[in-house]
Amino acid sequence: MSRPDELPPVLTELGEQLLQASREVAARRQDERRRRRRRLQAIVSALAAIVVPSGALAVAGAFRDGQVLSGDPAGGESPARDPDVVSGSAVADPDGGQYPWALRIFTSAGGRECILVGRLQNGRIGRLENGSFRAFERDAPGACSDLRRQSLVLLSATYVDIDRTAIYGFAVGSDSVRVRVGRTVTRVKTHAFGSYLVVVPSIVDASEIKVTATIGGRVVTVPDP
Amino acid sequence: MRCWYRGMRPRWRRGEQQPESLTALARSVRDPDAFQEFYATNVERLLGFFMRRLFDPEAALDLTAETFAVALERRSQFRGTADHEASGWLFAIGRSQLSRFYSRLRVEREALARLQITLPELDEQISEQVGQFVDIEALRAEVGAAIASLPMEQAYAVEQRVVLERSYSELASELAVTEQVVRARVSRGLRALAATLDQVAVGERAR
Repeated sequence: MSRPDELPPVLTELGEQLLQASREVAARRQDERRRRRRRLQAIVSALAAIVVPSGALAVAGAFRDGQVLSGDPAGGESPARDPDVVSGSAVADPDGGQYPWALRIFTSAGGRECILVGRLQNGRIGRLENGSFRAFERDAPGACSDLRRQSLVLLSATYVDIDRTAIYGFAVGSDSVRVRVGRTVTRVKTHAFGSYLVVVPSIVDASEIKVTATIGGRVVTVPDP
Repeated sequence: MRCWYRGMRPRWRRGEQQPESLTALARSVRDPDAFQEFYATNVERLLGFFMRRLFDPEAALDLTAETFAVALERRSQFRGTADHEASGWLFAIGRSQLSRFYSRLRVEREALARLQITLPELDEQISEQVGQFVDIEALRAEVGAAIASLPMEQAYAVEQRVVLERSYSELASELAVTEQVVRARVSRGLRALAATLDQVAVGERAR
């Protein structure tokens, strides 16, 4: 094998130019991957607003652990509260404001537990359009899992227009989870069905997120380290 | 939205450590600097490969550069797991470049242009550096010894051009043919000698 210091100058210079080109090609590919992810995340965020019929599962608020919101029938001019929304899961938006984030959990027709994240108002979850709240339809789709087989579920959704990433899922049988985003670790309590929710004020690549919980006496992490 | 379940490994994770057992070429897909290691391992042999077939430092250098540039662009396509497979893959690209050179008698620096890599104009000093690096005098001696096996026209062209280092224009004038014809005779002659010269080269390295 030729060591660089044995090569004639013209070949050494060629090697250095190839190295520079190699770095530039890698940087361009990384930029393109980031742009593709952002485009995909924007599409996913838009699709999250599409309504799909499914079952329902409730999520408790962050302020009263374990309490499941009971459904209140709509009365008068107020829209009915959604019995599947776990108001206890509510977390304030990093900028504050009147629309915290919360989870809706329901059981699908296929018997799987489904989870949906959105902004919370008056016991209903939805999205913000031009600053106005629009509730999701009752049959809005969620991400569904078979919690009899998967005890720790990690989901993330990014909202590129408002620079937010929602990290949520299930940790069945665990009263809290540790959410790692890059080097930052946050411990959050779980709610109904072991659900959890964290909202981060930036666009986070999914590869930077890990969740750890103690389930059945074992420390479990997803993705696998 | 991304979703993981316990036990399912994501298809791709940024920053994952590359095992050292991967070839430098394979590692260079994620670690650009590993391509330099691949280059250093193969540049001498590749340049020698072209020199044995062309005895033209400028063309050999151009082909070497273009071959590595193409390899850089296509490195994610390499599927081997051993260094000798990576070298074989590189030489396959080199042979393809050489074949194009034979048909056009010039090097198409397409990949070099895309990567914005420029080679210096070949002057006497650089030509001498390249010649010494591949031990061109030893190659000339090998050609001289093997030349008798060639058809007369090719043997003469190769001997005059490679062994005695006469220019193409001079030979063309003497033989009353175009430079293109002389180049083609030299090229065909060297191709015919290639197998013999490669064996000699391998034998010398083994000693």
